[in-house]
Amino acid sequence: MIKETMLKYLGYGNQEISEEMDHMIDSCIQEVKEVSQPGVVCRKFALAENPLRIEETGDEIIGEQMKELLENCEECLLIGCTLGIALERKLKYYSRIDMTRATVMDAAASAYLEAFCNEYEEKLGYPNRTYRACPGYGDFPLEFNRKIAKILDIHKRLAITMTSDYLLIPQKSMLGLIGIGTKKRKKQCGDCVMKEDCCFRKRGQRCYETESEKNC
Amino acid sequence: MLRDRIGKELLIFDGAMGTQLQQAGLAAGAIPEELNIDRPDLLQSIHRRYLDAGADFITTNTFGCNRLKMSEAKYEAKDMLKAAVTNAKEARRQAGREEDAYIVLDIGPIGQLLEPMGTLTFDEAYDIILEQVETVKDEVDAVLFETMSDLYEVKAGVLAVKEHTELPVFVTMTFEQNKRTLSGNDPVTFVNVAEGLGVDVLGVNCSLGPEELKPIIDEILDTAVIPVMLQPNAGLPCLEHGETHYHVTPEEYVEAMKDYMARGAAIAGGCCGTTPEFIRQLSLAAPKYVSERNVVKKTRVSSQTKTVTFGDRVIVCGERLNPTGKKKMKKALLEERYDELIVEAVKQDEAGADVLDVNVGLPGIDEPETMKQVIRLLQEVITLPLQIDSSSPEAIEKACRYYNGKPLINSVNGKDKVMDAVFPIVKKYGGVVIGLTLDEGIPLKAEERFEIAKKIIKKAETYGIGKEDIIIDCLTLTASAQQKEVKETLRAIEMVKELGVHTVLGVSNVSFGLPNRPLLNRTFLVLAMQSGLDLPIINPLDRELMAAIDAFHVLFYKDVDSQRYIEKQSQVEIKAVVPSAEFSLKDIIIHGLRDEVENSVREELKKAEPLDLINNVIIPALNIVGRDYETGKIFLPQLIQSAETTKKAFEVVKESFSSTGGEEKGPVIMATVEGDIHDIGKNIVKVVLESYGYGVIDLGKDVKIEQVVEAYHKYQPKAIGLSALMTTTVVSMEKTIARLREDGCTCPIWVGGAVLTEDIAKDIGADYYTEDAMASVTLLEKIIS
Repeated sequence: MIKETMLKYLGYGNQEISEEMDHMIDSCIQEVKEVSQPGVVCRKFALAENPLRIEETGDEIIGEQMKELLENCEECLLIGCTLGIALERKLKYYSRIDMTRATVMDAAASAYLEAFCNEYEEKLGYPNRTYRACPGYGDFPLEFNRKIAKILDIHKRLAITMTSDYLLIPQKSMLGLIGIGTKKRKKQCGDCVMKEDCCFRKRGQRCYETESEKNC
Repeated sequence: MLRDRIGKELLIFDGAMGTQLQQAGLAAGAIPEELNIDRPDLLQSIHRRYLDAGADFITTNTFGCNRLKMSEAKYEAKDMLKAAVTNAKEARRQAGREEDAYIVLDIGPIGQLLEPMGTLTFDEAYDIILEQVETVKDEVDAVLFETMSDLYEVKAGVLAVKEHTELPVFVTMTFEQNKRTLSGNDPVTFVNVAEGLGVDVLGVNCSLGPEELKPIIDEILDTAVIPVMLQPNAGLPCLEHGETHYHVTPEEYVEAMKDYMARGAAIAGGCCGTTPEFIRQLSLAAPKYVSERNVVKKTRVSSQTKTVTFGDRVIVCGERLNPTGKKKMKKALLEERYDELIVEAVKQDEAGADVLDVNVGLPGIDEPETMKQVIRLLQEVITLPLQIDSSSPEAIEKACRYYNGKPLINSVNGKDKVMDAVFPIVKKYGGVVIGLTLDEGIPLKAEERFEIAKKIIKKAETYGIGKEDIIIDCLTLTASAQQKEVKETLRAIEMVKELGVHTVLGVSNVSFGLPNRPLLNRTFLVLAMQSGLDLPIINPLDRELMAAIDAFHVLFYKDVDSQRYIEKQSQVEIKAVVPSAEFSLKDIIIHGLRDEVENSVREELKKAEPLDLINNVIIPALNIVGRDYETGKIFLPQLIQSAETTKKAFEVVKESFSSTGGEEKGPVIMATVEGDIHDIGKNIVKVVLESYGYGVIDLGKDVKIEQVVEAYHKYQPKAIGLSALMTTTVVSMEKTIARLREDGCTCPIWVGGAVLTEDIAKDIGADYYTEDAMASVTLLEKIIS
């Protein structure tokens, strides 16, 4: 699955791949797995309405999509996850000496992060949960990253730091919110700002895992 | 005096503050430091309970009290700092412990990652910490940096304290179960760097319980010469119902800590989950005095994540990062194109070097500044410790200040003036210094060089630099000029070793002016190793030379069971699957066979003129690649691979151009705008543009507006390309464009990035938008004629 996802990120569309390239792709996945030091923190909070917010902290959850997603959810999980600084260093290393490998590794790392989060989520034991909504996607403002960061104390627990523009370092890190109590797993392009210009859509793909991909 | 007690009497630190505040109702995400002003009674009572339980130190509630982390707090960081100290002092007064208990300014991580992985500069980190220290330095007894995970930040902090106060400095880092901090520092590297910086006490805190920390604590107790402090958690944190719990009882905690105290830990306390009861029992169980530890001082140099220890085997120092006699590197340094150096560093690393010498000394160059830049870039890519090679004390000082780790410093000699200039730097920043056995000239006799070595060691001692931080260079003489004296060097090594120091030699000098230099180098190296050479400075790409060291390790029982030797020497040469003869240069480019391209171009150049080769083979091949990408016949990695192959082809072709031919196209400037750290897209575009022969000045990521404007004036580019990944950073792209225009920039600006579109590009004032790397090429081919 990691390979499929990363190929998608790389814009793969059934081109012929040489044996060497295929080997390189596999070795990138292998190296990502070896170098990564995955870390995760997750905490459950109650949700309150009007405005929609995290009850314990009072942080308001902005965005129509979020409102829709969290309808009928009384609780939510905040989750923070990273593949660690050693991988970041490795990606940087390759971007200095071998841009092909840097690009393929970057895609492999993104795919691995996604897979790692999915697997972790599965184990939490909440069958009735929404998909993982990450600030910056759809109309869920990127600024919410700061709130999650603070609540989960991600700097101390995962050594993730956040820039003043709410970007995460290491780059292969993720902050998200999952609603508990409803089973809205289906993502849609809906209000995505990139809807008209999305390179995935142009290729007939989605940036997220679709139902048909899940079943195959 | 506190300093008189540390390391002699066993002293007790307090336990957790956060856990106590949470118990008192502090909500998740709330700012604990605000309570210093809002709830002085609560803070005082917590301190008081720890003091009454037997703590000799109380730490102020100021873990995150820096201006960055406190930007959202309702009070000023400075006011919360002052209030915290006042609370601690008041508690100490109430407890009647003003004479024998100490208040420690608590400083946790800044919360922003330092360069090169992050965006915070070393100087900014220094300033932020200094502000904290300056605010309360007259009111506290010591400063504690705790829960640190980045040794570089520790360095900034320790320097800030030591350059402005006389206060004792304590440092504890937090290690994970893999025995590394979250930034990748290991215990031995931590000890080596922290001791070099002259901290008073070092140790571990947080993350794990006393049992789980055992392998890490063992390593620290075995290597640290200075007093060690321990503040583990009350076991591993367990998440239950959204709350963190710790399950180790005070009894279990104390039982584990007793062992460490018996083995020489000097200060014991607690971190998350520990309470006054833990401290009370700990205090009762603690012996009055610190048990002695017999730690052998060793010579060690470190990068941020790797430490090389001398004595067990020969340590190889790579000599190739030095412009002397290297035209290409001279040019690269003068043009500030440091990629060249990085590639050279990576090659030496892969060839098995342990340490890399870095020399950037060239006439007309700002050596201190260049040294700083180069070291920063090297440390971004390479994890080997570096050897700072300069005759300029200013360059050495700057390099030592910004170096991440404990460097080798090359060098001092027997002249007092040189030692007086360099030894203070070695002492202040912590380094291992090379001492050349010369003063007014190189003495011919071994005995004379031995005397100079003694003089250097003695003088270093007056600066507080121990023998373990000195490596003596007995100096290689050239066999073609001073044949008779060559063996004096070998004799001198044997004599100097008797002084209890390690030795270094630049080996290849010996063969200068004679044929088959590698043979002489190799033979001399073997003789020198037998005499006791520890650190040969050589070309690690010379495989035979490296193999001689492997053989020496076997024969001198330094490679037990010949493991390394077998591993390396039994490696079969891996040949390319397809011999290059089967592929034409055109195919090599189309298939992106980077390893084949150099030979192929050289072969072709025997038959064709360079310019014809470019126009008739390389460019058409590249055009096919471009077309295949656009039509979806190949995908991104294949495009990049071909681009990198072409770039290499160009490099080889250029070598054969006369000085007038083969001009680059452009130049163009590229930058990922301020605030954005995602630069992979820009890097891909850069490689592809370079493959089309464009000179790209890459300003990097998170590039300040001023830097772009400055570069525009400096390089007068044909176009400027800006990238941004996030909608939030497109704003800063707009500002960059606006400033460029204000400054009279008329050259075309093109933009790209995940969230950009044609429309947005227009809105923010860019001239062009390109969707991907190939589109950028097409655009530039069109607009730059």
